[in-house]
Amino acid sequence: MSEILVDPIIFVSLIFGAIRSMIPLLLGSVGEVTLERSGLINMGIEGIMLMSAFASAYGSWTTGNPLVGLVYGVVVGAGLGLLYGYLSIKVRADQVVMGLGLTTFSLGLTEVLTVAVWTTYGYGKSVARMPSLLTITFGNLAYEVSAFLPLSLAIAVGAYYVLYKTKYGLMIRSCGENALAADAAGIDVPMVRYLVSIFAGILFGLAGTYIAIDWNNIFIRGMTGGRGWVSIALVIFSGWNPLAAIGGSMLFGFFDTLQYWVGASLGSSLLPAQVPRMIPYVVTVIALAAFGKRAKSPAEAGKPYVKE
Amino acid sequence: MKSEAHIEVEDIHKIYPDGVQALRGVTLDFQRGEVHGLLGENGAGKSTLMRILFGQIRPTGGRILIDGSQVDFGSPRDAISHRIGMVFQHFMLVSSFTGFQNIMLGLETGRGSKTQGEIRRSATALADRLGLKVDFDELVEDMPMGERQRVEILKLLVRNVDLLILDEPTSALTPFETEELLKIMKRLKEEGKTIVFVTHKLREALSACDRITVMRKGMKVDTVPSKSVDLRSLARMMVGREVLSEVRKGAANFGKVLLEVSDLVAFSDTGREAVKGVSFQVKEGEIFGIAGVAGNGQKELVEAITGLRRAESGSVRVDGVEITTKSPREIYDLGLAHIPEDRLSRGVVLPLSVKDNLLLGLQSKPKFEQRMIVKERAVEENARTLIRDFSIAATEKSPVKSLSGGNIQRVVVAREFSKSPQLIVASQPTTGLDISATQFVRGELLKMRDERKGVLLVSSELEEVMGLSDTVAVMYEGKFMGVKRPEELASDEVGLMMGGVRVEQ
Amino acid sequence: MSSRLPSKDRLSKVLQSVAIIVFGFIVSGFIMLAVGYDPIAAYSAMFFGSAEKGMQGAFGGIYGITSTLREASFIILTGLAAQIAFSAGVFNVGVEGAMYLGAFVSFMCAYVFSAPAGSALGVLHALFCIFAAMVAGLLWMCIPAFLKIKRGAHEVVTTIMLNYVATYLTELLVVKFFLPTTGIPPGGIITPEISKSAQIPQIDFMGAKLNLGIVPTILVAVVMYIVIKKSVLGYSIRVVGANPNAAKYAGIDVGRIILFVMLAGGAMGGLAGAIAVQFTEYRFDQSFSPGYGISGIPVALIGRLDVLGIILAGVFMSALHVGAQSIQPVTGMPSQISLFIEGVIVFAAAMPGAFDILRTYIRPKGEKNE
Repeated sequence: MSEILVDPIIFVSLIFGAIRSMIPLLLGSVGEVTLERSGLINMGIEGIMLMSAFASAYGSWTTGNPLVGLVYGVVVGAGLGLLYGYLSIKVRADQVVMGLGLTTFSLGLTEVLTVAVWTTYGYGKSVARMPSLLTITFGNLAYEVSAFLPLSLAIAVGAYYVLYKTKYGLMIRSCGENALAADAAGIDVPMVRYLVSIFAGILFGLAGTYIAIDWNNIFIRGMTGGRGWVSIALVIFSGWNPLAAIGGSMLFGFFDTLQYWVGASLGSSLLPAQVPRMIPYVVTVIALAAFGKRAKSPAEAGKPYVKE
Repeated sequence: MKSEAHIEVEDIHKIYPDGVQALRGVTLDFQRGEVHGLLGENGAGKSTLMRILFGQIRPTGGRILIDGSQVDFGSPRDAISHRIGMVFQHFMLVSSFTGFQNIMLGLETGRGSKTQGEIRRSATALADRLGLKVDFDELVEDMPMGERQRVEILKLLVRNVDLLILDEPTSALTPFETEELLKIMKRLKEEGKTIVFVTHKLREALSACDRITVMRKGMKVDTVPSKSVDLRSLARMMVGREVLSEVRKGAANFGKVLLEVSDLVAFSDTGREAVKGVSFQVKEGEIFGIAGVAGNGQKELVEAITGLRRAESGSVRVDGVEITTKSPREIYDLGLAHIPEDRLSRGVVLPLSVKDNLLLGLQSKPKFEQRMIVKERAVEENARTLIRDFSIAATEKSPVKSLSGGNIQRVVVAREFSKSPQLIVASQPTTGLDISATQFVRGELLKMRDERKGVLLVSSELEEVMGLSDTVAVMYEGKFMGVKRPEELASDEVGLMMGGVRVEQ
Repeated sequence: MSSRLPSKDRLSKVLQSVAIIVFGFIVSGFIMLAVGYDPIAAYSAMFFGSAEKGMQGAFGGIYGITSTLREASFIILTGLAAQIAFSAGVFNVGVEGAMYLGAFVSFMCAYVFSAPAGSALGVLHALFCIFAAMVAGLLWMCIPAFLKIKRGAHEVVTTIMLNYVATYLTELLVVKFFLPTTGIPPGGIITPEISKSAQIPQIDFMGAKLNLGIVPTILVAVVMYIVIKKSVLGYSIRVVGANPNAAKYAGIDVGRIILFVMLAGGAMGGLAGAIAVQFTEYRFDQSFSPGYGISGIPVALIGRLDVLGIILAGVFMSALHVGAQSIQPVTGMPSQISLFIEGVIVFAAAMPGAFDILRTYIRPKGEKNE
């Protein structure tokens, strides 16, 4: 095992792999952090990411232009985020059940649409991929750096700044800490929550888009691989702080990338393939165990706000 | 001072969808630059009226005029834009934010309006000028109550509020903080602000206010200049003459002591001393009533007695057994039954049926359990008997959530009484109930008394306490102002005690 | 103010469940149309098959019916597991993981040991393997259960994560110990056959094989019925689910109840795993579950707190899955359409009761809700 860390090529590959894995986790968790700060919970992140992944692949497929795919993915994400928010706020639907339903529904729908669009089952055809930002050569290997990297980092930093340093962040957080006080101060709590739902949806859409047409260039059944759920755990792990989410998603990303590293199902002499695949999930459970008490959670997360 | 009133409310009515009449046509006016006291007991309607003025509640009739023109408020935002603001009894602050962040919350900044820095400067200037000592960068959760209140007041002043409504502002304050507040109010008045001071405390109303309006049962009794009244007359207005309703009560015949409370001290959720050394006894065959405006420690007292709250010091003995360290379960096993104040959250399980609710707490008794299986027939028979005996308008299978408030209370009463208790603690047992349910509950309590049980009745409805109790204690700010037999108390004396004036006899 | 509409209890609940299902089918039908498929053809293929394509659908022939029944035994169990958790207000999505572990343990006990088939010892062997599987599932559930009780960790995320862990764990063990090192054989990640003594035979029924897994499932359903409806424990569970405050007031230990419902769910999952190994495949096949654990949730949501409802909903769900297999050859739509329909149903079930929604729209405007 120590051989891995010592060999510079492998080490660098791991770092780049970790970065690749980190991006969707970061986007997902920052989106959810912001959302929970405003007092809502979205349990359907996995489903939204998957639908956006499909939408982006579709957009890239039909026009041959990955940027169009990006737009499709973001629009789908924003739309689903808004729908989820609307149903939570206005209809007061059960947020957990809705999330589970949305996830299952997305799994099914994307399958059907995959067949409809590409006539193949379980995966689509290759599509035009997002151009990379720059390429770094290391020895005789080239590593691509995606434009999503600076984008997601900027979003995380920006979210931190807005939430903690601006009056808009104050408004958002007040809706999550004490919606009654926010209302008494004249803040339109539902409106704030709708806007945040859209924002979070955009981020989820970006995550899905990234997975489909940046990291890869194809839509595959279930390609989000549980990252939506991991994002939820990351929110707790990072203490509802977007900056901490950067570190957290980097950590989780590292574990996530190990699984690709250890080759095919049969495993290698070093480590059976399943072990690194398990690690992200195990780490998530441990994170929840350690931080489960939600000591610093926004007081109203998940509770519907009822106006008297 | 303008001759025209600053604010007028004309013939305001408020009827709730379930028929409760909170306000029955109230007309008042507030003059610019005055401190106007709004005095009354629970349910008098003063908070409701003010919340209408603040735009939180819509009236079902009547109108509001500001400087002569009618206004219609859809939300607090509207009220604030018309320079009306309210400081609630339970502060509307975000505890994890700093003082300044709370002051700033929701304010327009940026183009066309002030920057954060400017707001901070003007807030600081206001605070200095009016003597409002506030640490802007301290977290609200670390602030004492008095400082939190000042944050609330600054919040309003920064928004150029002209009319400040203070709802029971001294309920959470220490005596020193209360003095400070009264000084602040004087200074605000000097600035030309109008203040409405909602309270049930007579002394404070008299000393702080220019005029006082007394309300009772949703109506205005009168508005008087404070110089021309005294405590006694205010008390009489607040409480009314017809206090004692005719309730047929058998002769008193007391037995042994069932409940003995000695020097009980308990804290509220916010860490303040809510019960400050209370002592009393409840005997067999006695109804001991605790009167007083809600919020003076009654809730904490009841919780300490029923095991839901820890007692800081003092003792509580039920039938001789010390219970301050016991769990609610153990206390019930000693023969105490509790009709809780919030029946919906603690007293019943709404989605379940009547018979299942009547089983709550009794499910492991041999009468109802056999080898882990519920004796369904016993449960149904029990339910049917109780439904009949307590006139519950439902079948045993009906889900409790479909019952009216009165019937829900009947279920609670039926269940608690079916435990064959020795001692019953009834906390605000008739709030929200219609006439027949109210009479029913009162009748049941009397029946228990006649059966040589002990009853501790806590109620902010004076009629009820005076009519039912053998002994009455008036609770004010965590202490008993006086413990007497109802016949020995004149109505204005009770009013005085409820308003904080100890009556020496 | 709480409504005074007397709910017509059972009837209205059944209507609501039916409405949700119908809604699911209608919405799915629209999507099918939008994508260019014929929903009528799809649904009829799903339920009645198509003779020319040689598919029987869920009910179109004896093969279809036996398949439906076989699938039903799994889905009813996972539905019961989800239901008992719901009764206590707990979301147990981890039955899938318990199933995998139970299946693996059942396999190990059935493979390693053997007895003369058909003898008393053999029967004991079979029962032992089943029991071991249930214990395995139960123990697995201890993890999320304790995390919830002691650490307040949200059970949805922990159980979903643990599902992944369980499936990878079993895969690892099978690959490591039972597969040739040369690679995955064409049959997938499966083990050799288990001892005959542990195999529960499938009986011949009108030309098809009837799986006996439905028997323990019904047994469990009956036990569940007795527990939830008739026992004091069931009463306590229902109180905890409806109002934990009142439960504490009544002397009920809320933590113990939560533990019980989760562990019971784990045991049921373990049993489902044993059914897969000992009643159906007679070996451990890594791909034996197309998501039975997750399907338990819609079953519990449709079946409500009624065991009979769960059984019916379980049969319906399995018909959905089995029938979906027929859709692909007949219409070209992938069988995962069943996931889609399921998802819509769950989504619909998340909306607070149909009546409540109608009431919010009928209420007169202008009156603020007080």
